[in-house]
Amino acid sequence: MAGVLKKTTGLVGLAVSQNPHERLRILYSKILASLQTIPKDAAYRTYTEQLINDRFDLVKSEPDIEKLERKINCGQIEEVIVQAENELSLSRKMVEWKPWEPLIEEPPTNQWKWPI
Amino acid sequence: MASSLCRFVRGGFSRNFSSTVRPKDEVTHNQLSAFGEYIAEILPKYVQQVQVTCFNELEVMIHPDGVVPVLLFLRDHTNAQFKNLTDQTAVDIPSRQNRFELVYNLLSLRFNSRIRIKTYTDELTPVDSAVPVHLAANWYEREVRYDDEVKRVVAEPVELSQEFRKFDLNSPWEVFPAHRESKDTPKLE
Repeated sequence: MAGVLKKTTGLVGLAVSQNPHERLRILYSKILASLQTIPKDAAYRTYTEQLINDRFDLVKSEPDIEKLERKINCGQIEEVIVQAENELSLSRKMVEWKPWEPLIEEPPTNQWKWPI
Repeated sequence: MASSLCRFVRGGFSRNFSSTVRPKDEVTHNQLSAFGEYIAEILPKYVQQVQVTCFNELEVMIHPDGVVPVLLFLRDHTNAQFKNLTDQTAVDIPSRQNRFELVYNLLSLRFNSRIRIKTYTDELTPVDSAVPVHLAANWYEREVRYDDEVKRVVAEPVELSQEFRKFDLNSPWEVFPAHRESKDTPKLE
């Protein structure tokens, strides 16, 4: 590790994170833990686990921050941390809402018919 | 006769007769429909229909109970970071049973794509506010009412538009003999 931190992210209100690998490791393991409570066949669980595992493997394998940013290809590492935090809060709410259940109510006939 | 025919043909060659139909962009269409199927697979509880219009716009029709969950999913999920609520409107189609069709337009800056969420409601059923998810919805959801004090139409966020009833306080139990009303208080009808 060169130990050279960038001076600024260039984004207002987003500070440069001192230890992004550690932070991402914690967040991804928390997300995977909260996904365990969802039933295995739910599409949200499969897709999100695949996505998070891919990113987690990249984080584990790449110690250099710049190369990691380019590999994940989703903006700066601080933005990736924000995305992980959002995904964590979303997964906790998904456990509550259970959106993998079948449709609550069919729409009334001709509801979505266009032109009328 | 022949000369007029020649004139018509000459005029025809100078103008460009290629049709003004928008060229079909199959790649974007397929990408959008794949993403629409992704959303429908993850949220089958709320999503009733998904379609991609001829102008390559993805539209997701949901049940009105699912407004907040779907908007929150689209805002927070890593594959779908639709953080901008660009527009929130309603379409009135009087012939339908649920006459109002609510429309939310979202934009994802990360992936440069737009999506439209549609719900329905009738005159009497309230729908959850989108303000907890997107602060921009506050302005689009405002109630409009006529205020007697300032004598014009005012627009207020939903939390502030309360009705202040004027009670008749001239009963003998409530009158304070020493109370003097100043001349500046406005006469309220």
